[in-house]
Amino acid sequence: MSQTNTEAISQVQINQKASTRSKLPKIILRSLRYLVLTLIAAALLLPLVWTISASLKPSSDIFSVPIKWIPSEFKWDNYSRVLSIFPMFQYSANTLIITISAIIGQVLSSVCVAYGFARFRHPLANVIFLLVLATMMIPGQVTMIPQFLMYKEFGWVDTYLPLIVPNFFAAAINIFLLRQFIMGIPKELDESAKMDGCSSFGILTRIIAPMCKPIIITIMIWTFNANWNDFMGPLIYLNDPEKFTLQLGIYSLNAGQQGITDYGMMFAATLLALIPTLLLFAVGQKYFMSGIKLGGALKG
Amino acid sequence: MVAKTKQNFSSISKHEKRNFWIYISPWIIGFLAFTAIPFFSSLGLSFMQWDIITPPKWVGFDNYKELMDDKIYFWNALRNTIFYALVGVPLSVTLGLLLSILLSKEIKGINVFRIIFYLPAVFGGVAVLMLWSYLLYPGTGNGDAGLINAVLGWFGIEGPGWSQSEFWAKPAVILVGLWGVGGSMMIWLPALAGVPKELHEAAEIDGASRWRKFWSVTFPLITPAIFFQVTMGIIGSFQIFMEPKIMPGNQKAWTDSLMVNLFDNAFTFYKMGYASAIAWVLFIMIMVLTVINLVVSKRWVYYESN
Repeated sequence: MSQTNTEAISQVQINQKASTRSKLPKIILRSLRYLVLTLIAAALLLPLVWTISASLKPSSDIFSVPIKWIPSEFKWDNYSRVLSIFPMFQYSANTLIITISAIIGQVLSSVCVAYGFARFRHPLANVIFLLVLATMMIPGQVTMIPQFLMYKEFGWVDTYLPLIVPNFFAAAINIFLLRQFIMGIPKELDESAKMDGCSSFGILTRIIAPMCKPIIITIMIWTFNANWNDFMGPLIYLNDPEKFTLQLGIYSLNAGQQGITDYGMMFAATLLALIPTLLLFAVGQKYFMSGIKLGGALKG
Repeated sequence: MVAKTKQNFSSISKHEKRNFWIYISPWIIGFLAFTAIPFFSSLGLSFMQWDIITPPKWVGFDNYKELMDDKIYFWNALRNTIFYALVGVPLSVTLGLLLSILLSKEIKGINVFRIIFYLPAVFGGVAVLMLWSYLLYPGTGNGDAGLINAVLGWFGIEGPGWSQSEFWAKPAVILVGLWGVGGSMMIWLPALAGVPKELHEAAEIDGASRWRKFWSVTFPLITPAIFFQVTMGIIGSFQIFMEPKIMPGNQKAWTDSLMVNLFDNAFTFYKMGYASAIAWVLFIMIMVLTVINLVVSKRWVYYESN
């Protein structure tokens, strides 16, 4: 009896010891965590701060060491010079046409195909779904050259069609995500709608699609990013400078500046090109973070 | 079981079967037009010689033989690509995991840090790569340099020549990607959150150190996420294109990847057959690596279901 008591007491003592032992460093550990987090955050943001400062400097100051964080003279005309020789708005509008069409195409086609896989049975359904997943393994470069030759045959080179049309045929990853999500929606909802005389297409547009909103927004953000930042596609297909996208425009501006050292202007152009993405992140940050949870679902 | 499924199938109405095909038809059409047909055409093309203008000519394995003999472009690009995979993937996986561990505790203000760490990953495309070519500007040695070498100077380190140096041109390409490594928290954070708290507490009672807790509790449980990141990382680094294209070394050969090599052959020299052969070599390498990865993963990746 007493034996067990002392054992219990010593157990308590050990526990107390353990807790005091870990409590003191906990405060230190926590402040250490904040310190490390702050240092890394500063290091990650430093390139942006430096770029903003550089975009307002005279070219001769940009690479000076030690760094002049505050420009000796604010050169706001770096920005006006960009806009005068670089058709920023035209390029942004071009990119936006491609991006918005791609988003519409991906959302419509992916929801439709995912609904087919999630709600209709067919003896071949599983085999075909495996095929969908298998296409994710085929890297783009294998299909790139025949696709180019095909579009060339169609007369689509130097138009936006090669960049837009494939998006109307549902990307595998989007089908996968939406199918998993739709399968989680209770089938009773479909059935009661059917009783009310709703067709299968009506069920898709009135019940299923509205419920998929969170996944759809994530797909929209992914599609935006992929198309807004696409470089190889426009590089292959667009020749006429009038039709250039923002990425291709910046690339050719840089290439055309070889040997000319108007760095202030190049920095201003770089920053201007990043602004739309930054705005989207500011507005849709919640959904970028909801994308985080999807990451977990992906592995399962 | 089989009989039961068969019975189920026979109960499916014709109407339902027809609807299945109707709804998935966009994928079927896209699959045939943009994946299946191009996939086999490119295999066929890799045995031909074709400059688009004159009719294609069947040359058998000549393109592949030419590749194997091409030390200047193909083997060089292959070496560079392997360097990007061998150095870049371990670095980005380790750094991404470390950052995410720092971000995983729900402490006050953690969301602000998460947003800041995520931000560089949001930026993509040409502008960021151009930005980095300025950040890594090595200077002329007369008191001028980009941000990175200026900051290294604060610590008394003389910054390397980056794109101007044969040794540092490839690390420069990798470094750009590391700026956005916080983006991988998308995968890491849910994985880390999935480690049950009770396991940690149990380990703590047993007097396990932090280090020990990580290796014995956290690590085994996040191996599926590690496997995912390594696999995607390898596939991605074999397809690296934009970085070496936009911020090449002083000599292109220092940084050229297989993908740059492929692009140049196809769209600069219009050697469609030869470029298709590169594409297939690349594809087979990616497949082999992925399969090896899958087989090896059975030894170290832990899935709760087993």
